[in-house]
Amino acid sequence: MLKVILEQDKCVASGQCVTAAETVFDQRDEDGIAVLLEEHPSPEVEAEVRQAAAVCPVLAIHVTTDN
Amino acid sequence: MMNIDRDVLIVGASAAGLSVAEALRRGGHRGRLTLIDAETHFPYDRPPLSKQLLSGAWDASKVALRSHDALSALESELLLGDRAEHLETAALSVRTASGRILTADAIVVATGVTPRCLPGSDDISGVHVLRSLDHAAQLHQRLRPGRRLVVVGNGVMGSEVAATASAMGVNVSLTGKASTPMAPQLGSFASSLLAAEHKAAGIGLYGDVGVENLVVRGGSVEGVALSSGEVLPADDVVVAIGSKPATNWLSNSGLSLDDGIVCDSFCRAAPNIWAVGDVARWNHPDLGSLRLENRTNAAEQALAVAADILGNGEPYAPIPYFWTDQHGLRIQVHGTIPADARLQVTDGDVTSGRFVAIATTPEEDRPVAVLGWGMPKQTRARRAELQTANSVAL
Amino acid sequence: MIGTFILTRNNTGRSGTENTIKPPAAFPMAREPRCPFDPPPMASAAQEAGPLTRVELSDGSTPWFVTRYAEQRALLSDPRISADVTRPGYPIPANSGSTASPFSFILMDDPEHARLRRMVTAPFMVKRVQAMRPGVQKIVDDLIDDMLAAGGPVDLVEAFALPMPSLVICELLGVPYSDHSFFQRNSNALINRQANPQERRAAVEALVGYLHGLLEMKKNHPADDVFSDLARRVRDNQLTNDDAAMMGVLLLVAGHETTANMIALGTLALLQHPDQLKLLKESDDPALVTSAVEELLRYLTITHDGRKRLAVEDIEISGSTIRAGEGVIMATDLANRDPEAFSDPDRLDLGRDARHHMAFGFGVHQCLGQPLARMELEVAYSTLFRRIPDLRLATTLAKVPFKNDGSVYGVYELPVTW
Repeated sequence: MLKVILEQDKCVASGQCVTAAETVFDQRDEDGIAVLLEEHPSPEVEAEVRQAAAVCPVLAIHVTTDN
Repeated sequence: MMNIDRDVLIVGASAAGLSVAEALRRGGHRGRLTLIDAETHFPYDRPPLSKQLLSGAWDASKVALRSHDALSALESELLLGDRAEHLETAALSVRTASGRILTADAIVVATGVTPRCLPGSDDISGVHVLRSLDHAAQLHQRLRPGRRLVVVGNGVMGSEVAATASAMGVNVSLTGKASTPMAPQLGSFASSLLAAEHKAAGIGLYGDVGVENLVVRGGSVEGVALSSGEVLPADDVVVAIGSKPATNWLSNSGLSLDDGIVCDSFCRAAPNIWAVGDVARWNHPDLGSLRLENRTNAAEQALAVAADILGNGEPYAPIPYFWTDQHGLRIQVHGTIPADARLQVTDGDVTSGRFVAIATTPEEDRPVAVLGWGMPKQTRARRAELQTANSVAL
Repeated sequence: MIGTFILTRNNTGRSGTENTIKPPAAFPMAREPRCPFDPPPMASAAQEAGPLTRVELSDGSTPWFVTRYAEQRALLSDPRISADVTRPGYPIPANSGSTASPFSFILMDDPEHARLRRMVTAPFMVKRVQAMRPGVQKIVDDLIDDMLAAGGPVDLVEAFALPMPSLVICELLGVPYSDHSFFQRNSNALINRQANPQERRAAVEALVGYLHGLLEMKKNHPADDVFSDLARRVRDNQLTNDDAAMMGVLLLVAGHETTANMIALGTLALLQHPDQLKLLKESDDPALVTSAVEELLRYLTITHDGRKRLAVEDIEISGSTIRAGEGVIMATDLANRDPEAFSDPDRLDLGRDARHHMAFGFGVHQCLGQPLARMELEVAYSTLFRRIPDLRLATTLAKVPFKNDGSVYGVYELPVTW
């Protein structure tokens, strides 16, 4: 089971995670800071989620296949 | 003995079996954990076999289900390359091909499915099934621009292989019993949209047909003779006519078998024996006797089985879900689309080629499925509506 | 004064040179005129030799020069690395004209940087930028209509590359379009490598003065734009007038020149790589336009002056020790041509996956306007070549004037015809 952790207070609102995995990440309206839509995304977005973790400029996204 | 200390044996170490192991450990399980699999490869993910691995976009290392570190962290014994051959239900013991006898306090059967073959087609060069990494690697080697591929079977697998191969420049014909590709899974309207996508990609479509025989010369396939009388020339044939649950080894085990291992709503097949994934036919509280062959169910059902082993089980009542990627479109279905479903577009539009639709049954007008067509974000949002509707209806 | 002879250590240098003693190269370095899209040969050679070396700035200081992708990525996200320009030792070339006061939050560290940055991130979020797309498409189409009506040859910079992003940013920020040439002039002065400190100061003052006035106007007549939002924050005491004006200058400058330069330089690069341009023209797959934009960002990396930082503690990296108080320059243009990060990196390949490039930087200061920049470039390149498919250079490459002296690379003019 995929698990995604987002460290929101590190976020700088670059939006890269949304571009990489739009069904898993969104940005909140007041300041564009990232929000996690799916803590356990289903397997077909695993590659996208890992891409999001790779491009996050502040390394705020962590993906594991274990809780 | 406490549940968390029981010895657990998991037969089958692919998506479902591995997920059970991980869920057990996460749930505090401390007992011995043994996984056994007939495959010699470390566990790998199957959905990419008909997509990225077949096209060559990924190499084999990218389909590994878990890193070696993650596998070690399970603190389990992983026995690869040894096929289970016999199960004693009462004694809770399994005998393998190498002669090992494994006993446990709890057994999980996760042996999956094996692909159906065309009768008499073994040992014909150029005829492929697609279930394993080795199958996919072999098929990838054969597919080159201009070569002719005939896909027998127009369900999900056949349709995906056709799409992937056509993007590789292969000359593809997609044949099968359904009138249009994936009609049973998509309903007639969406299935006709898929047919249009295939045609636009240059794939020849032949619906409502079966295979009379293969044309073979010198041990190699040269063509496929359809029941319509047409003969399609072929350098390669992929047989994608469905799978049967891998239960032959259980025929005298004492377990009830009926297109899968028959289980109750907790996925229990017998005292201290569970089944999970493609092989499991369980009693879905709302949908009745059901066997789902898809990737999402492997992971979700595994959680249910692990919980039950640990004593926290609940009836397993998922909303079935599958996806397929074809021609650059992510097609998703939450729920089941009945043949006579009415589709109401809620996002996007059909003419632009990207939309989300809710399927309702004509009689009750209740949403029974969400169909996503190239709009994964909105599809995800509509799934929530389906859950609300269903919980209200129930 | 520290000697100009510094032992450069070989850190898994690919060329295998061991312990060469040579003076640090002057920075910035000169490009090879016949390869205007590639980093300076001396810079590439430095990358080949090792991940860290030193360079000499015009003030005689010798900051570290980080040449490779992995090391830059590590350092730009290291908390021991500061962007605070007021700290002694921060690497600034003498003619950059900075004063002791911070230009804006880009030259600050967290937490103050984060607080200020979050005040202006909302308009640039992905879904808002996507919603702006039809408006941007119209701006582009109108400019191309004018170009087509006038007939070629035209200077693409003046007719298209400069006005397009300025129209977009003015609309987003709430600056009346009639004032945009005023901003053009002053933002050019701010980033021209050859402008003297007095000229820079005058430009900043002019912009800040104007923005004070605009913010006052927005306080009384708010609209749905960034300056109205900033004016409200000033009124609510979240921000001083000066801070708001400075932030305004930053957004204007950042949004104009960079995008304008990418449009012109990217068009030139496409014209110089006809096989790649053909792929772009013949495909109707929007994903190719998206990946083409990423690849052009990578290939061109117009912010060729490097990302400048200061170490606030000692940092051990790849066999070197950066001491506290030493300046560090991250050559992101070199990172984007690092063969460890991008295979065959000097090749323009519009279909490759270049999404991990560092053209927008990395770390907490990574460009906050990037979703807007990407969208503008997608619309600009795709519309230009769709509507003027036989666009071609109306001069030779050798005659195109490149902005070698700008802190943002580009071309001063680009004569084209069709």
